[in-house]
Amino acid sequence: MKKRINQSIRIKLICSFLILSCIFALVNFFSYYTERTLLKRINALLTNNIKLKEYTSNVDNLVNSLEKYLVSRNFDMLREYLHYGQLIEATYPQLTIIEESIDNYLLLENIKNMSRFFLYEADKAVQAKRARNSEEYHQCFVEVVRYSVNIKWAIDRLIIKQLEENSRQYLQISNRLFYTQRLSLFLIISALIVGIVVAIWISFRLTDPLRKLAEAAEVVSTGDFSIEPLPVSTDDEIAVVTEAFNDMVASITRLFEEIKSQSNLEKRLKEQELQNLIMKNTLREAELHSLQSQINPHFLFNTLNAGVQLAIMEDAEKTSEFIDKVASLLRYSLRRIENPVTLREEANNVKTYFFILQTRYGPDRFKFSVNIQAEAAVCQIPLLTLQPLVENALIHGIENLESKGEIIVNAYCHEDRLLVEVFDNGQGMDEITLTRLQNNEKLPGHTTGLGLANVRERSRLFLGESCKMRIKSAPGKGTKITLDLPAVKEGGVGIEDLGC
Amino acid sequence: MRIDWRLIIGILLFILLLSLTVFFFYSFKEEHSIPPPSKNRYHFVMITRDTEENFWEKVLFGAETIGKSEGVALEYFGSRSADAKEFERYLEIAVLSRVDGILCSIPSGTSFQHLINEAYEKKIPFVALGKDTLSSNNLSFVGINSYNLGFKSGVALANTVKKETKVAVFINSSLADQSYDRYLYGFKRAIQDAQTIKVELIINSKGESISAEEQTQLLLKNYPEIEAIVCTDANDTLGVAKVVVDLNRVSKTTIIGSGLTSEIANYIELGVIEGVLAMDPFELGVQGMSALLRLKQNKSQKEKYYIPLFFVNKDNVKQFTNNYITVQ
Repeated sequence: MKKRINQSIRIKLICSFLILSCIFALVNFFSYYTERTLLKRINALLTNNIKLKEYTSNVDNLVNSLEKYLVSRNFDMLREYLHYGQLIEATYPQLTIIEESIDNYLLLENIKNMSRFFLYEADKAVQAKRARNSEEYHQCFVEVVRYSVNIKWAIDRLIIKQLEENSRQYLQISNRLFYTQRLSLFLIISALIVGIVVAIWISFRLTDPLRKLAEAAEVVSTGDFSIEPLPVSTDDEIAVVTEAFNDMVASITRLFEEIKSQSNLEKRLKEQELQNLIMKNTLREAELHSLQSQINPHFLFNTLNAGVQLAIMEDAEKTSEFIDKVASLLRYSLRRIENPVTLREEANNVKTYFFILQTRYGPDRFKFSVNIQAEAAVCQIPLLTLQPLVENALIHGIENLESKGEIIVNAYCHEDRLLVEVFDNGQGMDEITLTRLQNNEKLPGHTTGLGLANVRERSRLFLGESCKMRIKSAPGKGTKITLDLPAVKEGGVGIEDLGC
Repeated sequence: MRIDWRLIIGILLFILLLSLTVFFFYSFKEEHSIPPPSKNRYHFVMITRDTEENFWEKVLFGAETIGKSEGVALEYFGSRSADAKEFERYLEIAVLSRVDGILCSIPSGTSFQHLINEAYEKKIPFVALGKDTLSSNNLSFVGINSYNLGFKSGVALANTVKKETKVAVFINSSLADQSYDRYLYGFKRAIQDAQTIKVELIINSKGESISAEEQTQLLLKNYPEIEAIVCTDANDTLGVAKVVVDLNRVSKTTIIGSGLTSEIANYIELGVIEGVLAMDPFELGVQGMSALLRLKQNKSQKEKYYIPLFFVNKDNVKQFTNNYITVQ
């Protein structure tokens, strides 16, 4: 949406120029007007004086030509007289005054009236001359002269009065002109000062926000969007640009944050994916082991059953029991790995495993005890969780032990947690080995292959992220592995529930 | 601070418009300020000699006051010099221009009878102001009654002097013969009861201050017993007072004058002049103009109107000075 600009820079500049132009125009107008008035007045006076003087001279000329005509009866003189008579007759009504005072007006009236009678008397003289009435034309001529003298006198008086009045007014106007010039000077200086101040003010007002904008833009260009919004103090185009800039910075910052959070989300998703892949990998590994174990299981079972029957037939009870246990161990390990088992089943399997080992190594070589709390016995755990731990304890802990080794398995419930402890009094581990174990590194040695890491991952896969494995060991002091699992009773979870 | 540019533009335009309006108004006023005089009904002329300060201005003011209401354009010719030629010129122009009426104070010592006659012939209404200086039947007169002036002067003198006193009378020679006689008759009537006053000398004055000074000096030199001097003219009064002061005879000589000027008022305050007989100049103007209007409008043919006379002495001089001398 286009923002309405109330006080655009153009208007401001136009206003400023308008102010200055107005002041200068006013000053010039003052001076021009006063000078024009003065000149007009002087011009009017001089023109009027010339007209009046011309009129006077015409009156004189008429008197002269009349006199000559009366004396000589010359027709040229009569023509001349008639010419001046017509001239005066045409001129006198148009005589004007420039200083319109009542006295001047009345004096002019006198002049006009006298002129009228002057012409009348002159005509009378001419008529009398034509009638050869010498007495009358003489008397008339005397009157004409009398009128002409008085007309000239009155015109002179009018000129002098007008001149006096005009001189006085000239002085007044001169004074006014002097003050006008002073005023003009004052106005020009004021206008200059105002102009300079306005120019500086406007340039500062225009450039200051621009400078701040430029500085802010430079900061933003370096990638720093944490600047404060620029203040908007005007209502012009710069304000629009500043507001747009502020909006732009805010938008960029918001978009930046959005991209950042999206990237974090993606990172987390990828980690999750990786975790899933690891789990799948672990599952596949276990499955592979399981499949490997299931190679030709019927053949092995049949073979072992044949062995059992052979031993019974030969009355070799111990051999029969031994082979039966091996078959049972094999059967257990061939169960579907995705189905959980109870801790009791797992413990029985471990017992079977130990029976075989004791048969293999002799009864006095190891001591094995399993203590399972009744509540804990029904808790579900992943298949083959306990056996790898016991196997590890045997192989890494007590196999190389001179004296009698001991493996103790304790399981109990604490609050909603199932704690399974496998303790051996074997040779223990040094710090380095312990660290490697805790970092899920595989240790060399002969085990079923399901290492501790596998057990831990499967536990997490079955029972969730809260599954923990703690290893406590010291060289010569045995090892204690504790599985801290959520206590899930029978019928709780299976691998299908996790969608694997 | 935000500046409202629209407001500034408005103010500037307003100032500009105002200035232009004022300019045009003044230029208009300057060029057309005088109303056209053609709306006046009459063109009258008043001709005086300004021998007495402010007096004729007051008369003019009185005449104008009446004239304005009657639509009279009053042209004023006031000669500041004592030149009778100039005065004659004014009068001649007025007559030749055939103005609608003439108000005129005829100066002493000159004769303009031919112009007055010419005005009468040309049917120009003519009113003489001031003193009855012309014995013409062809004009109206507004001014002082000579008999009254003489009588009141006599009364004033009789009231002032108690002992036996010889008095000299300065009579303006321009007074018409009848007026001259009437003045003396009035004066004598006033003092006839007072046995102590005796008219010792009657002097014909010219109505000029310097001339009066000369005559007074001669008088007091040749007639030192003269203890009172009576004058019919303001200039005579002033001349006499100056000489009396110069000769250090203030306490010995009683002066009864005529006409009130600021200088005479000053002498009255100082006690040099006992008192003067004066008229209200405004009233003279008013009555003069009224008489002229009556003549012009054919409401009268010829008239004489006498303005009341007041005796101005030390007691009331201030009041009269304020009322009659000060220019309004």
